[in-house]
Parts: sequence; structure tokens; C-alpha cells
Amino acid sequence: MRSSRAQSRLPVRVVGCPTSSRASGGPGTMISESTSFVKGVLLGGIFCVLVTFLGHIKTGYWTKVRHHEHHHIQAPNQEDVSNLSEVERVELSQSIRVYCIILVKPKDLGHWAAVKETWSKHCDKAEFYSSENVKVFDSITLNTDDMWAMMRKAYKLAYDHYKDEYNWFFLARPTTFAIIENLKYFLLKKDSSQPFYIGHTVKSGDLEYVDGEGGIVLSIESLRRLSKVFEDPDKCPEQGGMIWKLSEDKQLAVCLKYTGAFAENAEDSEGKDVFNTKSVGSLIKEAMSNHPQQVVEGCCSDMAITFNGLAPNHMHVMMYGVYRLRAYGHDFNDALVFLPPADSDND
Amino acid sequence: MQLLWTALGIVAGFTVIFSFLPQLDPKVLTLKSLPVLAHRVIHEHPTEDNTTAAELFSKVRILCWVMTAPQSLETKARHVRATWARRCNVVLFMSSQADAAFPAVGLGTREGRDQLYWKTIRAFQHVHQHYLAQADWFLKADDDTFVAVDNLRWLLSAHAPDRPIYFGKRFRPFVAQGYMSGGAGYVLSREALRRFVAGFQTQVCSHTSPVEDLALGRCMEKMGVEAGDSRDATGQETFHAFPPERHLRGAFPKDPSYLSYSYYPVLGGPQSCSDLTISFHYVSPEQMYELEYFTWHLRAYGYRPRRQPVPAGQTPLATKDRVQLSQPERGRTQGSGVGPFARGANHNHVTYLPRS
Repeated sequence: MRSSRAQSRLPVRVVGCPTSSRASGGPGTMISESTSFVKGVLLGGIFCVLVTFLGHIKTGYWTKVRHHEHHHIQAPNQEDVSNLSEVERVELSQSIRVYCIILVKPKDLGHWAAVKETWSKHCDKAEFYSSENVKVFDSITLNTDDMWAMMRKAYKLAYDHYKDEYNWFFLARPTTFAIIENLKYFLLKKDSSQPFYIGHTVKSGDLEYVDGEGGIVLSIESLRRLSKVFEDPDKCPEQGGMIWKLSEDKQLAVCLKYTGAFAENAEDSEGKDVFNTKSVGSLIKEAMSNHPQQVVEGCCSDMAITFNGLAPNHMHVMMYGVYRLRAYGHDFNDALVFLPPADSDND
Repeated sequence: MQLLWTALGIVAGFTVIFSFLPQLDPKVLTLKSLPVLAHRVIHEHPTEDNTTAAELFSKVRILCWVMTAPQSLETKARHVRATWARRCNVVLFMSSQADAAFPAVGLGTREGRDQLYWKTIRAFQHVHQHYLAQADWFLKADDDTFVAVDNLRWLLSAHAPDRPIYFGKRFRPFVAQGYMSGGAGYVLSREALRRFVAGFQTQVCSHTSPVEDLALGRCMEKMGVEAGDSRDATGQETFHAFPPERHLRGAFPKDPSYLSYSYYPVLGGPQSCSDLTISFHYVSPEQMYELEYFTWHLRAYGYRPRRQPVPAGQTPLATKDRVQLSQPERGRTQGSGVGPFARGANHNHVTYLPRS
């Protein structure tokens, strides 16, 4: 920063020797010196403004350090929603079809069971992609326990088998709890034939990626492009980064970036994140210390889609808290309709 | 020499203006500005219709008094004050000593577990003396009790406040009609409160024991106040003596002491808690906010609940009409599959209506 400013400075010509001119100074010279100075200040200021005006685009670069460029994406708000007719509402509820991929390993058995028994029942289809075969539960075996390899294989299989049946693909860890209805509401007016790549974003240097801990949402178009770029080992290598290994969520972002799909951070109409990489409990604790006068109001979105870092029992409590526990007398005029799944009693 | 000064001036002017520029450049303002938190007491969703809740607020007036202590005001009671207490028609924090700032009422007792019944007696006397006309129902809760006040209004809407009755988590032993757990919170009708206070005036009731809930239960029985059934129409409990995880995931149905205490058959798993739960106990400060978030904020958009309750004001099934869900077969966790509320019945929705 400093060096660029120095480059734009005008060259300074020192005229004469300070000591000798001061020797001959007096009140008269002082006035003329300060007049010159003031003239100089004015000239310099005007010059700077002109430069800025003419090179308006350039100033953005100079201030880039303080200015982060995030792509933000918002949930529809009430006006968007109330404009829909009844027919449109029904059509839309049924047109948003979400396929859930949960990547698991045998060590995750407790969480796996909890996910199976709770939120995954609300996906249009949910499948568990496991590093190795486990007797207790059905899964699609990937025969690798490297997370990036697992992710690649799972996405490839999901695309090959389901590209005509689902238009949104949600990938989660077994420690994540997701509210699929809120995801569908969020996706309500988004065109799945566009390359969406949505979640809780993080910026790492120049790369903006979706943090896997909060869940990753891809539209069918993104998944299609991803499938293609998987075949290009230069852009999207199987073994992760060249020099050091990138985490799988960063690697995904790199591959998608080549295809023109960029990570977008999801927020509600108040600007709160809807994909969370922490549990409700952690977020509440932070809120209790950061803004104790407005803990719940400042903590988490009413339309939250994911939380992470939940113990299996907490998932069951969340299931009760989301789908069952409510305050009597508060009714909602929602644009979509979702019915409880069959063969379930905890929702 | 003058040129030198001019040049210095140019540099100075340029630098000064340059450093002020970013504040003028709108691009520098971060795209994501913090949401402005409106200072509303009750948060509302944009698509939310609160008409029914608001009607009940004026029809079923509840005074809540919270049992607390000087040392717990800032560690526990303040989280109650910040959450569910705001939804009561009147709320009072009862402590041994007055605290004008909190504010807390001073009961003039000492502190300690052995003082609980004294505090309760004094608290109800205070409420009777100053607030009788301001409410129809009078709830006692601890500073680690969470209360879904809107659901309490729903339960009470079917009962007249001039009826001598009280509700809570009903325990079986020691008192013939049973008594209500202190920690899970209990609520007295106006008539029940009158009779409680009258009992002490006439000395029919006295400080028989420091065990507050049991002693109060004995007084209620003596004064002809009925111990009500607070379960919803499918037999699921609304008042709870423990936090949600213990009920939903705990081993209660097999715990002999809990089984012997519980007045009604114990249901485990998801059946242990009504959708319209009224209370949980032993709730930590952090969980108090969590439950507030679950009850009044977080929801699944567009989701039609599996169980639709009896509308407010309608009597839930009387005991004799109630389907026997699990008869005294202790240890069974599931309902026995009889009648229209049976599990295994062929519908996703269970809508229960009062029998006419």
C-alpha cells in the first residue's frame, strides 16, 4: 500500500539549500512561503481528486485489503412469496426435489444412526455413502477413506444415477442436522439449471469455498459441470493439492471454480447465516457473551437450514424442537406445504 | 524556496485528500452489514399470524412467580426474565430479600432448601394480597424451569378460573389425589389460590414440612382443590420434571423410582413429550435460550404438524372417556393401540377432537 502511494507522488525538486535561504528570511518571506504552501496544498488536493475521478475504478483496488468480496445470496422474502398463486405454490412444493448425500465412516456409527432416525427422513431421498461396508446399516460403499476421494465418488455416483430425478443435491457430514423444508424454502425461486453452489462460505486467500461442516448445496447444473471437470486431472486432480493437501471442501471449490460455479453464502432476509457450522448450543453461548441483551434474537435465523457438531442425542432433541415443540396460537401463512413422512413418529 | 513550499504543499494536500477518500468511496463499506436488532419484546416472523395467541393473552391471564434467591438472580433468574417470563401477564421474582433493580420481591424468609415451603406460602400470600384481580391463574416456577406460556394458556382455556383446580406434573405417592412436582411448575386457579390462603388463615393448613410441593399438595387436598390432569388428548405429558433430553432419550420407562412417582403411565421416547409441552426443569441458562428459540423462533417452513391439538377452549377428553393408552403395565413404552389415537392406525395425521 505504502509503496503504491509513493509511486503516485509527484517528484519533488529541492531547490536551493534550506540553511542559506533561512538566513535571508524575515516576516515577508514567511508569508510568501506559507502562501506557496497553501497553494501547494490546494493543487495537491485537486490533483488527487482528479486522479480519483478519472481513475474511479482503480481506487477499488487500493482499498481491497479492507474490502472483501463475498457473494451473498438470500432467502425469498414475504413479497416474493405472496405473489405466488395457489397453483404455483403446489407446483413449486413438488418441483424442488432434494437428494441428500451423507458421507460416513464406521467410526461415525452413533451419528449415522441418529441421522437415519431423524432429519434425513425429510429428504426426497437420502443415501449414506460409506468408506467401507458396515453390517448394521445399508450404504453405498466407496472403498476409500480419503475424504476428497469419497466426495468425488459420491458426487459422481449421485449424478450418474439421479440426474433426471432430483434437481438439488445436499451433501452433509454425520454430525450435521439439516431442516430440509427450510432448504426448499430457500431454494424456492432459484433456477436449478443455473450453477448454484451454496452454503456457509469461508474465504481462504483468493479462494472462496463452502465449509463442508455446514452442508453443501449444488444445483443439478453445478453437479453436471462437476462431473465433467472430474475428468480433467489438471484442473481437478484426484489426489488433492500438488504441494500440500487441500481439504476436500476447498478442493471442491477449486474444481467448481474452473467450471464457472462460485460459492455463495446463504442468508435470511435479515442477513443472518442459514447454514451454520456450529451447534445451536455453541451459537447461544457465543451470543450470551457477545450480546447478552438479545441472545435469541441475535443468535440464529428463524429459517436456519443446518447446524453442526451435534451429539446423537442432541439430534433427537432438535427433531422434537423443530418439528413438534411449538407455541400454541401462532399460525403461519406459508407458500409451501410439506407433510410429515410416513412410518415416523418423532416428527 | 517558494517552489519547495509549493511542492511540499502539493504532497501534503494530495496525501490528506487521499486518506479521506476511502470514507467517501461507497465500495469500501462492507456488503454484509450487521442486522439492526429492533428492540421489540416479542419477535415476530413476517408471515406469522398471532391473533389466537393475542386473544388468549387477554382471556387467560396468567401471573407467573419465579422462586429465586439473591445469589441466583444474576446467574439464573435473569435468563428467565430475558426469555419466557416476558410472556406472562404479570411476572414476579420471589427472593428472601428485596432487590429493587432486578426487580425481586423480598419475602422476609431465610434462604435454603428447608425454607422452600415458607417462601412458597409467603409468595402466594403476597400474590393473593396484591394481584388477585389481575390474573385468572397463578403459576409457580423455579429459576431453572422453562415454561411455554402460550401452551399453558391453551391448557387452561378449557377450565374456569373460579373452579378449585390446579395443574402440573402429577406425582402419585403420599397424597391420595396425588400432588404436583415443584420443579416442573404448577398453576393454581384463582379459586385454588383463595382456598390455599384461606387454609392458612383458618389453620387448616400449616407449615407441615419443608418439602414444598408435597406440603402444598396436602393443603390442596384438604381444601378441596382438585389435582388436574394436564396431559394432552393423546395422553402425552405437558409438564416435565427434567430437561427434554432425559425424557426423549432417557431410560425412564425402566426406572422403578420414576415409575412409582409418576401418577400416569410413563411413556418413553417421542411419546414422553406433548407437542404443546408446557414445562421442563433443571434447564441450564444456555438451554433456556435454546428452548425459547425452538418454541417461538425456529420452525420448519410449510410443515404441517403430525398432531393437531384440540382447539383452545375445548375440553380435552375427560378421564373416563380417555382411551386407555397403556394400562398399569409398568415398563411398557408404547401405547396399546386402541381407538382412533392408536399408533399403527393408517394415517400420517392424528387429529383429535373432543367427543361430543
